[in-house]
Amino acid sequence: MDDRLQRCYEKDPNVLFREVAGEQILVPVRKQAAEMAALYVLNETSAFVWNLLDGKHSLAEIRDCLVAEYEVTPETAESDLFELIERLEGLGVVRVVAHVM
Amino acid sequence: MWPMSCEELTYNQLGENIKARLGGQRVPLSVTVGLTDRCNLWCVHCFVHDPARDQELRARELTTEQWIDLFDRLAEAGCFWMTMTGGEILLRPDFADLYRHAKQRGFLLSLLTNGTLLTPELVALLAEWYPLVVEITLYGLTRETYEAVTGVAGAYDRCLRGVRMFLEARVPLRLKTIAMVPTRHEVRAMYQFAAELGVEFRHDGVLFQTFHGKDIRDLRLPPEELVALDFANPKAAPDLRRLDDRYRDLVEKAPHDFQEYLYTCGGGLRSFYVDPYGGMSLCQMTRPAVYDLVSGTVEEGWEVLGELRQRRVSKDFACLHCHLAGICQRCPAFSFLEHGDPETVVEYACAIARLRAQELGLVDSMAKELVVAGS
Repeated sequence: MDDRLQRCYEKDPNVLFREVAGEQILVPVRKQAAEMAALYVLNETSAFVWNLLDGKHSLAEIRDCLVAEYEVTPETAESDLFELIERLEGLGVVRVVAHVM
Repeated sequence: MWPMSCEELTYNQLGENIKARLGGQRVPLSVTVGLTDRCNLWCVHCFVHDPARDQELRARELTTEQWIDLFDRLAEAGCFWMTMTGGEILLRPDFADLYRHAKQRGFLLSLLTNGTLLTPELVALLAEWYPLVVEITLYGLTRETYEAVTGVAGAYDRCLRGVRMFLEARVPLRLKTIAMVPTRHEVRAMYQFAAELGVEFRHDGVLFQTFHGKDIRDLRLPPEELVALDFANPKAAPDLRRLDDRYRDLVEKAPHDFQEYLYTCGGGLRSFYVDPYGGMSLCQMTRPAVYDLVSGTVEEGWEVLGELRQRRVSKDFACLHCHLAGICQRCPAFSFLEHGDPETVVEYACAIARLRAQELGLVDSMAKELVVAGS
């Protein structure tokens, strides 16, 4: 098993999630997040993942939630989840807080 | 919806996307909150003019807790853009608490201030919890002009100090001025001043009459002078020239195609105003408020604004037949403040619209005779 699946991520509290007129948006509100000169719009599945990044759910659990919620294979869910997490980490808006065994 | 996506957008792109997605749907996205009508300056042209030390007005304003509760309800109703204005917003001793709370609710905040009451603590707050933009009005480039307009000795130095403090702290800043008789000789120099600071600048010269009865028409620049200034402004002129494309269709349409309803602006469509006492209205210039947000809900108030927008214009309204309505700044509030009736021609706006049309070549380019209100 890919050991990334054991990671639990939490969101930067300085980046807020707002749903506005059907758009799901990450809004940086404080200087630590000021490098984000833009906003980021998540689609439905990305927003679904964002809401599960609570420091408690592991990526394996989030992958399973995706498979249960959407018509997607575990392999696709996993690789796309890794891709999204990598992007969010790159933006500095999520960080690893725990590894579950 | 698969695959997953996380798309980067500028603030403007997001606005455009939302606009395209909503079409004509009414959604309360943008709120302007008048934290106070009181001001520490006493500007000759201002439409409010409530004294800073008026304790009776201060006592009527929403409390810190009431504003915070209202911000929560506005966020839950879907408002995203918030402009804090006054009066002078920094007169509120609780400004820092209100601002921080609005940021924590995820509003994209714009602040309109005269900058004279800024403190290092407030600058530090705004540098940390940065706004979309702070806009400071320069009432003159020299002390003599600034203080002649504002009526307060020492205000000029305090304003420029505020500008410098924001720039040093790298808080997003814009400057603007009111182009009017007392400032006319300094407007072009102000553009130069702002350019040297690396700050965006604009002027506004379409002065509305006041709420307190003072007639400010003699402060307005002659329409010819204002339109010349508009088109001389290197930043604004391209926007004005784009009106050519944007409004040519409107101008060439039969006027009744776009003048069916009295309110054709964004008020009550995407935006609204909340006054210092919790009253809700279509915009800051339409008073009195039509709904009390202290005792009622944002959703119900929004419905009341929707009912207002259903009001149709009378068949004998002169602007109904005007082909230049699309490039005219007249609105029901402007008419009401000018003549006490929302369905009247505002001669000043009318003259400006005609000059703009001439400058844009719209009049010459049209085969048919234009019908223009006030002709």
